Amino acid sequence: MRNWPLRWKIALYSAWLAVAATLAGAITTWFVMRKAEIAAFDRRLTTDAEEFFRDVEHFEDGRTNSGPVFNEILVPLSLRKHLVEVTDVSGGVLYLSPRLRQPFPRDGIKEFHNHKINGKNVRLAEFSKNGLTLRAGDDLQEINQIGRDIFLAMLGAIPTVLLVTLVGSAWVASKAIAPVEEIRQAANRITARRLDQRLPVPPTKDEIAGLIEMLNTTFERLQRSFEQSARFSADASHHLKTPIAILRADIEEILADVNCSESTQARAEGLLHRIHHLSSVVDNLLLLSRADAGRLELSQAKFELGEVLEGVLDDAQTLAEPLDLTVEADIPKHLLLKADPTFVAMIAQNLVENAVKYNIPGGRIRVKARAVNGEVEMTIGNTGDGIPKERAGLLFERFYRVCGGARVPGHGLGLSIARELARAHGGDVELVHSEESWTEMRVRLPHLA
Amino acid sequence: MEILVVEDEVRLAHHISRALTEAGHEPVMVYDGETALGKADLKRYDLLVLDVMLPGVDGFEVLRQLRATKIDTRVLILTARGEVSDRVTGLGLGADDYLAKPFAMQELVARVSALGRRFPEEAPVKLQVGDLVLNLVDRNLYRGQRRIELSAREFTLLRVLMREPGRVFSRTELCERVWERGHVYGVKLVEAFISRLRKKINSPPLIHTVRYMGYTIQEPE
Repeated sequence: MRNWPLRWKIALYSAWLAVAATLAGAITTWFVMRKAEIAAFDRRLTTDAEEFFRDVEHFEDGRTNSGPVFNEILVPLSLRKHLVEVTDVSGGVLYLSPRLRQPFPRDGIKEFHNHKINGKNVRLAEFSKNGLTLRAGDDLQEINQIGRDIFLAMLGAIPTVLLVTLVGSAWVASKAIAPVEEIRQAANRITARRLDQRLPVPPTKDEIAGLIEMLNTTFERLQRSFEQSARFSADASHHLKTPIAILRADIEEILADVNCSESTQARAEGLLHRIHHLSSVVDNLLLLSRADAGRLELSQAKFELGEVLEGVLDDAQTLAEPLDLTVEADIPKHLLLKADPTFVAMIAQNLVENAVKYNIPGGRIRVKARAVNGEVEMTIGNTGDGIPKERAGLLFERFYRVCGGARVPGHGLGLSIARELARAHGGDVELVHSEESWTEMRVRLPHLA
Repeated sequence: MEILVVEDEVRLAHHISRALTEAGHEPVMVYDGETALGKADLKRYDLLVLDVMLPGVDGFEVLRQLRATKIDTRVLILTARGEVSDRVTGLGLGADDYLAKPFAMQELVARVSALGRRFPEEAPVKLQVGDLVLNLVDRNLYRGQRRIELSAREFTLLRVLMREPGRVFSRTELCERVWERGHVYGVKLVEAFISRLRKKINSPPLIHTVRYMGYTIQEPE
């Protein structure tokens, strides 16, 4: 239920609430009705008893010196359908109503009260006059019939109540949430590219308007920090690349100078290449800073993975020869991608570079690609020492190198760049397998079926 | 050619102007955008070499104002960023070519002379050096009648060399031209591919090593 849409949650809660309210209503009604019905019953019984005693007193034919004489016909008809018993002074039973099969128990009967007889709750009363005692009452269930009927009827209505509140409150909730949904869609339109846009503030002064104002302030701050980071990367780029350009021009001049000694020129050539490396480190750092700011620009195209990998695999084969490595490539034809081909080539280049770097003489490199669940999965595996488990987490950290030292060239940016580039496409780069003799990386990129 | 060089970094501007002078051009140096606009307004230059990041009025703005005043001098922009958007912005504003820093001075000179031609050359279908013919469309290479198979990188490398026969390319420049981003094993790869190409092309040799400078492709004298 945690993942349900808010509308359905609200609908469900209101439905529960409605059911609970109906139940509480039914119970209250039952109690109130019971009280009223008992009071009415008591009043009726009193009236009937008064009528009975009046009739006995005025019954001319049965009058004796010792007092009125009881006759069955004196019991009012309205009383007979209840439980009725008439006794004389000595306690002898003079009359039992048809429903009363045996006399009431003798003890504890007072004026109106509830009594338990044979496991049944019975409302009872006792009236005495002129030596005659009338005990009358009835089953509480009989008395309380209307209350019970209403209670049952209300219980019966619960499914209907449930359905109506469920549908009704879902409708009300979706009406209430509509502004929130609008905010979500509008906020969705405000991406890194269009951060200057703002959400329209409604004229009302309610919670929604407050929320929108708050969001707009946040967007403004976000926009400012994005602009700052964009300017930083442009400025840093300029201020790093221009001095590098000057250095390069200086060195090229030495190289072209015929008066320079050979050893100077040899050193200058080395410097020139180091300048090239420095420049690529700067490129990589700027690329990462752009990726961090979410400003990586993809110029997407549709292309076959095999075409882009051709050069990378050519490099791998060439580097493999002197190291006696075997390169196996299994790239199906017509495996289409929609991505930035330069970036995909960079991902592959970085991973294949590593596969060569961390290999062992006479080892193996395997590059495989497949379309899996709407994605292109490319795995690059190599023989080598493997990455210790405790260091696997650090692998994608910037400037991290599994085994440093002079033997292995590089800056430790390759994997983090590969991962950022893949993530910018909605994919990823992961370490899938690393044990003593085999390491495998997996790249996932959007497939174009 | 009379060339207006707009670059705020004085040393780089000097390098550029020296290289252009050596190549037989007449460069004029300015160090900011406003001066550049003033100069371009007074005199018709054959070409503008324009840095994007300038103090005050930046390179894109200079380009915009030039084009707005109908000055159609050819423009080569220099940017620090290799980003696609910069290239697109520059070319969209009417720049004719684009070069990312740090560039090889030779490359700048080559681009400048290409822009200096009155009519831009049509992209050739075939490149030829001596009896070596590279077809850029079907990627076939022929030495005389003999057909030679090329791998992907070999083709790119040979294309770079054959486009400018006689020009010496440093290993570094070849790395830049063949790989889009720096390759850890760049120099090794250039050497390996060059030696493979030499073997395939066979004798008489066409690819020559210029000591400490790099490689060039040239017809034997």
